[in-house]
Amino acid sequence: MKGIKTKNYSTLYGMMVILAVWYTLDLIIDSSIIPSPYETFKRFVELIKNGELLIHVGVSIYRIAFATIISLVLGVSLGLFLGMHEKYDELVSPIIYLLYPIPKVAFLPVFMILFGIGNTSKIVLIIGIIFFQILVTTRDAIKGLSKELFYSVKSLGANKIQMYRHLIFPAVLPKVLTALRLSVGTSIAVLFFAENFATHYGIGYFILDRWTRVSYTEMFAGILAVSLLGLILFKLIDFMEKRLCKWIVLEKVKDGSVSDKW
Amino acid sequence: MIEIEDLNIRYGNFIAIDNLNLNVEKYSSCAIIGPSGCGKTTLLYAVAGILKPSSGLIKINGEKIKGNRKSTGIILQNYGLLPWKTVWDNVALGLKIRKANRETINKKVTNILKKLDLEDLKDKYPVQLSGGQRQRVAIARTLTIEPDLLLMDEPFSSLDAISRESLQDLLLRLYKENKMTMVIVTHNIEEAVFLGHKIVIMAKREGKIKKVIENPYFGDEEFRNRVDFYKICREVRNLMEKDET
Ligand SMILES: Nc1ncnc2c1ncn2[C@@H]1O[C@H](COP(=O)(O)OP(=O)(O)OP(=O)(O)O)[C@@H](O)[C@H]1O
Ligand SMILES: [Mg+2]
Repeated sequence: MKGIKTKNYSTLYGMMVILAVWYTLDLIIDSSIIPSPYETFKRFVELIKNGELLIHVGVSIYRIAFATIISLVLGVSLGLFLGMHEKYDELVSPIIYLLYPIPKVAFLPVFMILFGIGNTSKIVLIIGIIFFQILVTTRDAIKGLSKELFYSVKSLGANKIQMYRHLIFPAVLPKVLTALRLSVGTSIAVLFFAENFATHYGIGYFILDRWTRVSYTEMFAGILAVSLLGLILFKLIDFMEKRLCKWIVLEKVKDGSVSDKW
Repeated sequence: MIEIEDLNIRYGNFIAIDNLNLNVEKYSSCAIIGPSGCGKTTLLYAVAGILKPSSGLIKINGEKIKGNRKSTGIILQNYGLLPWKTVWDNVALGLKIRKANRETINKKVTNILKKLDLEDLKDKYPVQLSGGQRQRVAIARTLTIEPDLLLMDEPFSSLDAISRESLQDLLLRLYKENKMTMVIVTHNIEEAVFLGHKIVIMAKREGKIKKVIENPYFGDEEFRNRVDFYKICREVRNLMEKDET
């Protein structure tokens, strides 16, 4: 319980620090490139109210959510398959290790030619990033399970489906959530980049558009939206971890009242 | 109960079990002891149906085993509990897998938790338990499937001497109450002598049995305090030490 409380405060604390720095910068740098926090928040609220920001954020969320769901489905199923079948893993892994580290952004032009300049190419790009993370994580989570754990569950009479239900899925789930947490940041950054091309929607487009129009307050309102979007996504994953993987949280803090730090 | 005839198990070219023969009678207990790497786990896994013999035969109740057997319970060192399940759910797992109805599960699990003094821990996760408590949960989980054969691979080796002895006492009590056959693999001489009706001493590195000692005092709960206990322990130790030279 104690751990959770500190975490809530820590978000607040983070906001305070950033606000303070922002405010100071605004005071020191006497230029319109850094608008005051107050002006920005005011503009932010107005843009939310008139629906403009909501549309852009909504389109970005749609792209991320769509890409995430597809990556999860593909990555988890292939990861499960490779984790359970060593022979195929030996065949596929070398290919994955070559593709995994390539900055997928480099392929954006190719994707745009193959999948059109619209939504699809942007979604494919994000899938290209998240998919590999999920795939490798899922596979490694299974490989990390001890043989003895398999034997124990099997000796209780579990069939294949029951092995997945009681042993494999629960072992993979927290690892996948961690992988998602890592890829959320990357996918927002990459989406921002991708939304600079051939679209009139998305928070990335919004920010760049306001920049070219020298409307810095609105540009900052857009940045604020990105930051909140990321925060909400992180919190969502934290929430799922707390709900679905209670034991992981316990492993991290064995008991809030006992510390292993001196 | 268990008949092992000319059993051979090879890992590639390496012979882990070499022409081994062994009988374990019904409702008796067999302790297998031997130096590290002599093939104890391999032998136990073969009896459990986890490993397929390279040649030879293992029969349980006259039936040749192929794969997992329904009423064989297995307890392995350290690894058995699922970290994402509470004590209750871990213990209920075997019954759930066997599709017992909810009432039966509730009744049996409650019963066994009470018997093993685990009621207060039922909502805890394995990370929140001590080593001894975890092994008690592992025992409880295996007992729910009402095994007629209980196989254990160094179940108590990570525990301190006192919790170890209390779990040995518990096991002896459960053995007497439940009418089952037990095979326990151990490194510990006192454990083998206390829990083995038949004490099988394996030879170093050969995958063979060196000697089988019958232990007529098995079942005596006060056995550890008797002179005969030490006599048999010494006998086992001498046999094992001869190996070293
Ligand atoms: N999967 C494997 N592949 C190859 N060799 C193996 C494998 N498992 C075990 N062995 C070898 O077989 C021999 C017997 O192993 P086993 O695990 O049965 O020993 P053990 O008596 O249980 O030892 P310990 O007391 O240390 O647990 C060892 O020499 C080991 O190196
Ligand atoms: Mg072993």
